[in-house]
Amino acid sequence: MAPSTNDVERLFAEHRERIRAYCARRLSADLVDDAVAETFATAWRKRDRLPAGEAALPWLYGVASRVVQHAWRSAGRSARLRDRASAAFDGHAVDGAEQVVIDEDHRNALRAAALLGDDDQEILRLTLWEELSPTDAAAVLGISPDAAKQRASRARRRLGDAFRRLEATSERDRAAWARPTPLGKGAPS
Amino acid sequence: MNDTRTDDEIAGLFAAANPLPAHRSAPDRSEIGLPPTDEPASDLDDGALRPLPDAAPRERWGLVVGVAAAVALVVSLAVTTTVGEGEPAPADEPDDTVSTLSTLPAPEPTAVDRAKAATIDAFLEAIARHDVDAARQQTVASPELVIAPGAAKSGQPIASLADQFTWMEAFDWRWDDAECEPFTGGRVACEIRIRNRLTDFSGVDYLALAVFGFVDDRIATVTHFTRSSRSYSSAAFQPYAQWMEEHHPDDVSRLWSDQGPHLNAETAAIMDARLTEYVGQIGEELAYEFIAAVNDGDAEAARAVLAPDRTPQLVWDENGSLPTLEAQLAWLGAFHTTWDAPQCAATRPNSVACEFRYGNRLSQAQHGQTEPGSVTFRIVDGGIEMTRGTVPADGPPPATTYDAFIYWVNATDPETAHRIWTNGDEGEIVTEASASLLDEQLSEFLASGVVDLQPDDAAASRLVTALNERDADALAATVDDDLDAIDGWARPTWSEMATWLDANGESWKVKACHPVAENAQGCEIDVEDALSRFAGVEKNRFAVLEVGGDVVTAFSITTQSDAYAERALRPFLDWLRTNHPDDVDEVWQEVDGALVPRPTARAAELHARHVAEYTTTEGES
Repeated sequence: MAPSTNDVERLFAEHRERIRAYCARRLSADLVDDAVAETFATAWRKRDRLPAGEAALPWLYGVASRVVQHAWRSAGRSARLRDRASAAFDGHAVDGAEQVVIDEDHRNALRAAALLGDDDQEILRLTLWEELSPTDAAAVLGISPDAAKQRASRARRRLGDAFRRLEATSERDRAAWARPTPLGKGAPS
Repeated sequence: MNDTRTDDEIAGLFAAANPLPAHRSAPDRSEIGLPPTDEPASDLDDGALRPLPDAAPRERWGLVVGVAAAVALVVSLAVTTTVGEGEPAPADEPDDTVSTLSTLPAPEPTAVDRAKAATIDAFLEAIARHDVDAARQQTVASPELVIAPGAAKSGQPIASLADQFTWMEAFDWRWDDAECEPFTGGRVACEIRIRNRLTDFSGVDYLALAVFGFVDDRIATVTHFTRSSRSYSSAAFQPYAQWMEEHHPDDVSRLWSDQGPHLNAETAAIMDARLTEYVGQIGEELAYEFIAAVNDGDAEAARAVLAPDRTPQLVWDENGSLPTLEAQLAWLGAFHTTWDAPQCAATRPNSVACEFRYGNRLSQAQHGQTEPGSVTFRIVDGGIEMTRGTVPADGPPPATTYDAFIYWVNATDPETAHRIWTNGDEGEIVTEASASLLDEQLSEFLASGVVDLQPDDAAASRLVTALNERDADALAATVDDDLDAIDGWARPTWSEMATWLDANGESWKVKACHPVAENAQGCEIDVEDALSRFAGVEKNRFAVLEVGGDVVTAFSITTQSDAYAERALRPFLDWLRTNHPDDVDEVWQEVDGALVPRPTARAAELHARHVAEYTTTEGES
């Protein structure tokens, strides 16, 4: 059942923090506010299509995902004034992930995810960070629930493979540094 | 090494690496929140509202807008204006699989009720005037108005309207271009363009959605709902917030809490001062870069700091129109113009003034003379525009040398002179082609060494001394042949001339000399007499041409000035006609329609007496 128009504002308010978090997980801090604002402005403009009930949040995620993609594309064309202000005051944006993720396993998980394709990354974020069901993630991505399930499963497998490869590399590096170099044998390979 | 981790465990690691897990909120430093109707909220915020008083008249929206399509159109236009050239269209379409879910019915296009429209209109007018009392006249007794974003924090009372107005005034916050439509519950939703000092400065504004609730056609609630801007936060507000944290961290905690700004007179005053400082610093940086670009003749660098579509007026062209930036810089470059030792400082909100020493290769050739120059910039649309300048746009210092250069070009290459200046010696023709010719001519002029002639050496100085001392012998030694060489003086004898010089109380002074060719220079001589001194005006000016140290000709280049005629001579003659009517014809005669003194000793004697009496009696009165 569709929500009544009386609920539109409340709906936005209820989902605001989740949309903000969604954007914050994908964008640098300075771009988040604009992305959130743009998401809700777009949603307002399209409110006649706003689905009812629990379907509203995936729909909002869908809007946000496109806003985020646009922000990614245009990041390189950001306003010269911002660049100038940053340069003038020696400022720099803070990457939330860099601050929060300090554990090596977590860093490797992120690094492994970064090695995957965009589709795999996004289904992982949607299902593991936004904690969406495959059905809701499907709504965000505009694919069928079955396709979302398959994509999520495939992405997890690829994430595991990438993670294990990274871990093996770091183990080998650590071993190489730790291993004593036999006299006359040269450096370890 | 742990090689036994499963895909699920690794997925768990990835989930745990979530930089913003569900229990943590994303840092919310935005300006405009999305307050629900029952929980109005907002965030780190600047602003106040105030429509531009000098803006184009806002369209009367109330009776004609009211259609959903209009809102969509306005939003589309706003998006269009904020998207950079070549950027893809905004991502605003959810997928079809989503949109096929059950949806709300599209709003019916209906007009806003007339009474409500009038109330909102009056309310916005009150905001425009910062008139909180007038705003209150449009509301119920105890309204819940969230006008300044951040006026309502969760669990706290909404800030008073007066505090909101004060805060918004500090930000020069303006609501403009309202487009409204009926909303649920008898409310009215309006898309309003928001401008403030940061939008003015950055050139990025945004649309806000405000919802007005009514009781008996009076405003009972106003809520900010959402906003549409591609880059206001990232381009305007976040750099400011970051600057505040770096430069005034103590103020940050005084101005903002985690829930939004503290709205009161004290914080508004702080905000006002900090905004001025912030914009001023940015503006100063831009101004210095612009001056460096001028000195380098780098149009691209200059344009990088100029606001879009702004061309400064550095040089006038022949018609007083604005040449291209490239042509102007080429023109200044031909002179090797420099704006040395610039000192720029913010003067008032969104303005920067710079002072410097203005020099060029002509001034360098004359003992490195420079002149003070200044320019004022307005900071707007993400750049600066030059609003005022006192640089000598029609020629570099010293002006006499520039004049001499023009004479020299006319004397040596009149055809080229006509390609650089209108009619050879009038207004500049500022093009890149003329700048190239100018460059060549200046190089030749300076190589000729004519600028080495100094005014102190001028025969004009000896001429002036002889005249002021009424020294006939010295005068004869100075001029080429005899007094007849001085054209137009119409004095048959030195005695008569000296008599009239005394009668008028005339004194002569060399104003400036400039070379006009090798071993030749022209000098300008200012002349004043008792009447001009009394009236404080210039009488006339002579030009003297000397060659090889002798005055070869002298001529009046300005007749008695209009100011002299109107403010010195006419009052004197009126006084004379009243007080000595019988003497008028004895002293004065009409020649070619002009009243001139008779060349007689008697006339000179009377005139001297009249002038003395006039300046004494009129000076006392």
